[in-house]
Amino acid sequence: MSFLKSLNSFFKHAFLPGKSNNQRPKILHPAGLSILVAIFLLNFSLRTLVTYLPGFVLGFSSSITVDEVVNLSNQERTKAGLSTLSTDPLLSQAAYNKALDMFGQNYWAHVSPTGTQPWSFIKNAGYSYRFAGENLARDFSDSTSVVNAWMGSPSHRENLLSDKYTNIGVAVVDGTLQGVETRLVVQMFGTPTPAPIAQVIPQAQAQQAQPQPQPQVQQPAPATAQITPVEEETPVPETSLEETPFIAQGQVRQEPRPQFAGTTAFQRLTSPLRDERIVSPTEITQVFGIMLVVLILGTLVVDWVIAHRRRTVRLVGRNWAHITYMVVVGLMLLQYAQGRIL
Amino acid sequence: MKKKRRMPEFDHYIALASILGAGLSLFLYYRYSRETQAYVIFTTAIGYTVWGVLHHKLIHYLTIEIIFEYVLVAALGSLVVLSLVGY
Repeated sequence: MSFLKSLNSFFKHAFLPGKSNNQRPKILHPAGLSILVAIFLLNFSLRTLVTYLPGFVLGFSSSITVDEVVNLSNQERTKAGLSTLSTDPLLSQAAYNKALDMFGQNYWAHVSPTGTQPWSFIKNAGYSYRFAGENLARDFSDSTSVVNAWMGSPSHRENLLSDKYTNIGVAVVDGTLQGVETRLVVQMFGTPTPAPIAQVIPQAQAQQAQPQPQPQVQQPAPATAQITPVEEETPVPETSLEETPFIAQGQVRQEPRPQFAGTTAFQRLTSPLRDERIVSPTEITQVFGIMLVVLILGTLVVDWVIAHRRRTVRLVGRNWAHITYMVVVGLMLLQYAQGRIL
Repeated sequence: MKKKRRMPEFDHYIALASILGAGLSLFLYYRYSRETQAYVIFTTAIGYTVWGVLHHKLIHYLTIEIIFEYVLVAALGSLVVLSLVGY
């Protein structure tokens, strides 16, 4: 009984204005707000902790497929009055190699930490281009969201709706990137040319485009042979993989890649037979953040109403201003779109 | 000449609405650019703090506790969103 009484007193002290807290809920005092900031910072640790819990995997479940991305991209081009792009196996291979390189070197960028440019993958796949471009996406749940995101970004949209391109290559690969299981989507565009003149238009970096020499590395046969799985119904390639740095030397090395071996990762993300549960870091943060915002908003509103009724005069910040700010924060949380493009 | 009655501190409300409205609009506009979104929420939080301090200064009751209150509320709000944008 005394425990319930203490609990009741604690809640009143923390969330209602009264004598014990100088007519201001304790969590709205600077000390209380500091504790909330500290608790929220702890959320980062809690989120990481999830990865160590048995049966939980921090990641993004996804249903993106290569065919859907290609079809949706072509639909957007048709709407814009442009010709559709044909899938090129070499470009798809280049996209796939780029995805593997990002997983392998754990980066999320157009240019790798070792300075490898996107068009190096295109060249190394044996695709001789006149124009080339690249769009990247990660953490999306479905193909429509990916294409919509690209269409919503001026530079990506420019790539997707460019009349300079005739070919497209898409790779959808699962793996662990920066500690989170995710599905990467690499979309490459190109226009082949038999001439040695090359012009590159990377996404959002057209000003950095530089003429490229005729590709030195030609690997038509192996690349074409290995691209087939990428274009199949199941978008995740088989485990026989190429290592990009070796391609640059004109070699192909096959090796096991347990951390993102396509089939295994795909099953982990989508199969209901597995007892692991994918926990999206975005969802954890979003739910935790919304709970915190609701708690503060509720306390502010209750405090405002009670203080107004009691006509309490206090030297404190404006509750209505805090409420408005927290409403904006809440809207940002609710409107936050999962997925990143580059 | 009859003077038109205005809501007290009306200009302050307009300023706050502008800061928060611009912050929310830009956040939504740059929904796929995480870096820009981070800048937007950071700037909005700073703008909110500055607004709070100026508002209380202009109505002649500004204390160190009030400054802390605005800083902490702004920090809490921005941290919540930044942690999401960070992924």
